[in-house]
Amino acid sequence: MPLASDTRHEFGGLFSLYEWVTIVTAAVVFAVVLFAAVRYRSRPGRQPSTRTEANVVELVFALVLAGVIAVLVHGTFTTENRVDAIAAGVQTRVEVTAFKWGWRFAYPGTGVSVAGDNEHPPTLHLPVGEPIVFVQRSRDVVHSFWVPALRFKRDVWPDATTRFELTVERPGTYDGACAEFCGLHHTDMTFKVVAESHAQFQKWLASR
Amino acid sequence: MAGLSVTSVALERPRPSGLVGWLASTDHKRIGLLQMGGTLVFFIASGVVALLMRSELAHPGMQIVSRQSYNELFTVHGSGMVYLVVTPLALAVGIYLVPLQIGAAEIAWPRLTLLGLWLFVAGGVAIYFGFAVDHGAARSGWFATYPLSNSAHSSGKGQDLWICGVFLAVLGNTIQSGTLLATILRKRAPGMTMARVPPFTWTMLVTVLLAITSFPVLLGTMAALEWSRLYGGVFDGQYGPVAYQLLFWFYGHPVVYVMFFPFVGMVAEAVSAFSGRRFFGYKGFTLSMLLFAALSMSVWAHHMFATGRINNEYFSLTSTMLIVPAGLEYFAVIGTMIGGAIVFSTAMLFSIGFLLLFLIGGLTGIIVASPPLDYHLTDSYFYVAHFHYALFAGSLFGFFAGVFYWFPKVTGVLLRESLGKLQFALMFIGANVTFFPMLILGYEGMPRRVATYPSKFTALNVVETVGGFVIALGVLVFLVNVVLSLRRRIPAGDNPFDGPGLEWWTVSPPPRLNFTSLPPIRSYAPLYDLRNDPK
Repeated sequence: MPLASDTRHEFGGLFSLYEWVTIVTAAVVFAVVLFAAVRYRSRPGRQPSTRTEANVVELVFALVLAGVIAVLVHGTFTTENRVDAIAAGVQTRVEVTAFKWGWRFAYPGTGVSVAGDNEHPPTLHLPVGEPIVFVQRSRDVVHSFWVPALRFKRDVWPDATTRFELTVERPGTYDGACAEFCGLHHTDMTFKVVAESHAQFQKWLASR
Repeated sequence: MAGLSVTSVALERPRPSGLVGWLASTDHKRIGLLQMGGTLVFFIASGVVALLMRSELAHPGMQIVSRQSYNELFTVHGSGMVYLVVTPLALAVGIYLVPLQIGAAEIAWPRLTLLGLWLFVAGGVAIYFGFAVDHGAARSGWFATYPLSNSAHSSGKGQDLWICGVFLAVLGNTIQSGTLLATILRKRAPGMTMARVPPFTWTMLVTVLLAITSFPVLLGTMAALEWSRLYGGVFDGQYGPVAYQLLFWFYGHPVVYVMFFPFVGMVAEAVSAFSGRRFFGYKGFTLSMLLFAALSMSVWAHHMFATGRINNEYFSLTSTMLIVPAGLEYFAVIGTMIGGAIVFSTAMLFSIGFLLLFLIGGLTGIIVASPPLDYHLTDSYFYVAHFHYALFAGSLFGFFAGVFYWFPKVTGVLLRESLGKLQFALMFIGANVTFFPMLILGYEGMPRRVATYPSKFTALNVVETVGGFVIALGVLVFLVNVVLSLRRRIPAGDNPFDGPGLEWWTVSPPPRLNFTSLPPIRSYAPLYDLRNDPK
């Protein structure tokens, strides 16, 4: 069973729905356009049709499109409800501070924090298999916290705090980046994510 | 000429000759052509900037430019293409063609239209002049998020020149949108009811409706941004930065459709002529254009799904609903091909290219209209691919369809078809080679607006750079074609492609006041009415 807010899993499920709709639509339109181009090419004796509309066909087509919209929007809304949800009583919390051009990750209640900049990117340690609440704020301009492997990003604002919940399913080392252009060293405003077992994570915290 | 002479114009005003005759012209055709010439200059400039960026990105690490220069380059590339190329180009085509399509002698308020042209040119000069001042050109992206664009984070006059340039160019666009709206509403020839306005002019009508309702918001936003840079305050404090983004995108999304609708209209006209039949599903097409315009005014914050500060569901719903009008546009254009007698001219090839490649832009747009998917894909190269498929492989392919279709009307001579087909092949291949790998790179985690990248992304970036130069070669072939066709002239006659609209009734190029007579107007394809019923 997927974890409450396993964003990678949620993204994968929804993306495959959209991917299929996209591929099928593209295949149908490409086929119809190419069929029309070949079948109705100008040849000696070919008279163009004088028909100017097909309202019933068009109406049915519009209804089919409306049906597709209903399916897509339903999938999107139900997935977003799960992705945006923040459970109560989550144990692990991370305070993210973004600045030009680096990150500071603090673990409230433990006194532990790590920070780094574009020349020495920091490493964010996270426990796997449990929900983690992130609370983030920027010291200067708008940044964006992105971990591509988790299929999730959220902007970091100077004037307001944004919160979200993530769960890392598998241990490993992942890349993180700033995704909102923030000036000269935006390119290098990266970080690493090290996801490890609960015990290893606690050990890492204790060692700091 | 057969048909009823509805208007006859005897009073030809003396026409100033030479340079002044062009630069101070009140002839909508000259204003339109000058504006197209201006956008061509900025297109080449922005294109050269793009090639510089692609060259830098051909290899990880920094080789050609510095990080700061790279940030200036992508800012000027994006700003140039949006504010100085595609938007004014769309309006320029409208300024040239709309009066001809509706049987008018002139555009409404020609001097204001001319003012719009010069404001746009001044704006473009201001933006590019940034390269000549201390600290260089603007470097906060084409939407200049706040507080990145304030005086502390973007010091130097480059950013001020950018704000000034954007303000002037968009002010010019807004004024021209007003004169086009007045022209369509007030200057139609007798008999041309709104239900007989040709497809291209309909797309221009909804375009200028969008422009006059959304562009003024950007003018206010730019004024407030400059105020914030000088004195602080407007966008500082809580909600300031998010207010800036909401205001910007209230302009920034409708402008995407301003850069799309007219090109749909050009494709509609070209497909009709080269399928040898009346445009199919006209009523559905015009109604869906209006629906398209209405919806596109209510989707702006879908650029902000990852902000965590808006109602994502509402904007996701309205954005996904755009499937209906977009589908109906395709229905009408493909419906025109079905049952036609299709001639594979260059214009038709570009129209088919538009249908296929814009589809990729549209379908990837549906994907990023879903917030849980957008959380991952926004601000990545997936996004860059999405809007380049829409704007380059879509809109500019539509424009080239229009160029090959109307060039004989504008100049009296034909473009070379063989060079046109070569250009199409280069641009079709080049666009896909450049932009398709970006979909993969973005999905794999490459952010946009980066000057370098991890070495795992190298192979696809090399492919994209090669594709960029193939596109450039295609543009070069086009320029050669224009020069060659104007020098070794192949006379085209007044209606070489058997087009349906009034613009094909008059001589090529059209005289100062466009028409000496008009045929009866009984539908949106008056010349086909004559063919079917020549009485």
